[in-house]
Amino acid sequence: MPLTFYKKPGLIVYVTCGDPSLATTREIVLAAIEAGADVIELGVPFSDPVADGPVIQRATERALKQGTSLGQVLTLAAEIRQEAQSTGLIIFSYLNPILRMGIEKFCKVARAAGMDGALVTDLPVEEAGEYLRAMHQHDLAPVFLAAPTSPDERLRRIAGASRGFVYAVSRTGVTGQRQQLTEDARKLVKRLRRVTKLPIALGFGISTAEQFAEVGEFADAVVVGSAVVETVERNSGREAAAVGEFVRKLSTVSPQPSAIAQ
Amino acid sequence: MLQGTYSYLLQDAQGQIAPTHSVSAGLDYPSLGPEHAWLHDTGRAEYVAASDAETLEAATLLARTEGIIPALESAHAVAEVIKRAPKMKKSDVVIVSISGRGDKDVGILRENLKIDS
Repeated sequence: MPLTFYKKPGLIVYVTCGDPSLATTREIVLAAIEAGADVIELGVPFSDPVADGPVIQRATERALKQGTSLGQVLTLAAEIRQEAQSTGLIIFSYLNPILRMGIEKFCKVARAAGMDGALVTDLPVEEAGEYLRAMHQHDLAPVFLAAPTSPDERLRRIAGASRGFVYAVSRTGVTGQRQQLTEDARKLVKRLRRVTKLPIALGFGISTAEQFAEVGEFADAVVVGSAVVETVERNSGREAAAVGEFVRKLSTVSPQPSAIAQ
Repeated sequence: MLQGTYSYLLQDAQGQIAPTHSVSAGLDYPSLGPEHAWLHDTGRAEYVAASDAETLEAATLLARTEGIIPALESAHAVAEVIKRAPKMKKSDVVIVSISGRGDKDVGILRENLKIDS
């Protein structure tokens, strides 16, 4: 299944699976898809989320208290795939849970679950040899992170190893919402355009329709994570409905129909 | 893999890192240096454990008998010496590396040994 963005900018939604429960995550994801998300990043909670700010840290803690595991997320993912045939689904995880399961086994199960790809937060391209072989063998798209601090040569390497899309991180630091996107974001996307033809998704810090529209001017897709996770946190008992409303508000800002297929 | 390092980890079956405890700060960590992992895997080194109690006892013994206050991390090695020495000959040579000083641990020693100030 190709990762397709049905409009410009496309919308990628991240959720921490298992917060407040796997069953609710399923509802939340389906609501986000219905509201316009093109791709869902299914976040696997990890005990040491070094790249995440307080919102996702709290969600992770809640999910881990329920015993949420990579295996359970993959099972949930397969269920979601049954109900969402044309949405891109990516497993978003730190490396250790995947290593523990075994890279080969992870890829096999992810493929069987109908996943399109994976993003491993703390796996740099330089260390990804075994992972890339397994991902390609199982027809899964490896998505990597590009940062404003990545030198051009590294951006080229990151882009070269990426499939599906390149995830450009808008700024240094951890996940979390910010009032203003920095100029780093625009510059990074410009630099990436020189080394890749893949769609470029920009994430970290985006929470408002204005930011979504602004980013949509120069990136192919926008990733919204902490803002969605916080919406879940603040709407106990009606998480899915709240996320649906939030996503709808975001994605109806730039109604430019376009298909950036990969 | 934790914090960018591929090594042995205290973790559960799902790959979640386990909480840790040690009376010594330096050992209160769920992973260990990759060199140690390598030395273990190649059989060059043998790795043993000491409890908090054994460690505190060892630190105290060394301080009282030799006037050397070891770091609590290093005291774990001293604890092993105490365990092995009785099974050795007087002519055997034992080298223990006191990897750090215990000045930093005096507070912990006082607390745990309930030494009056």
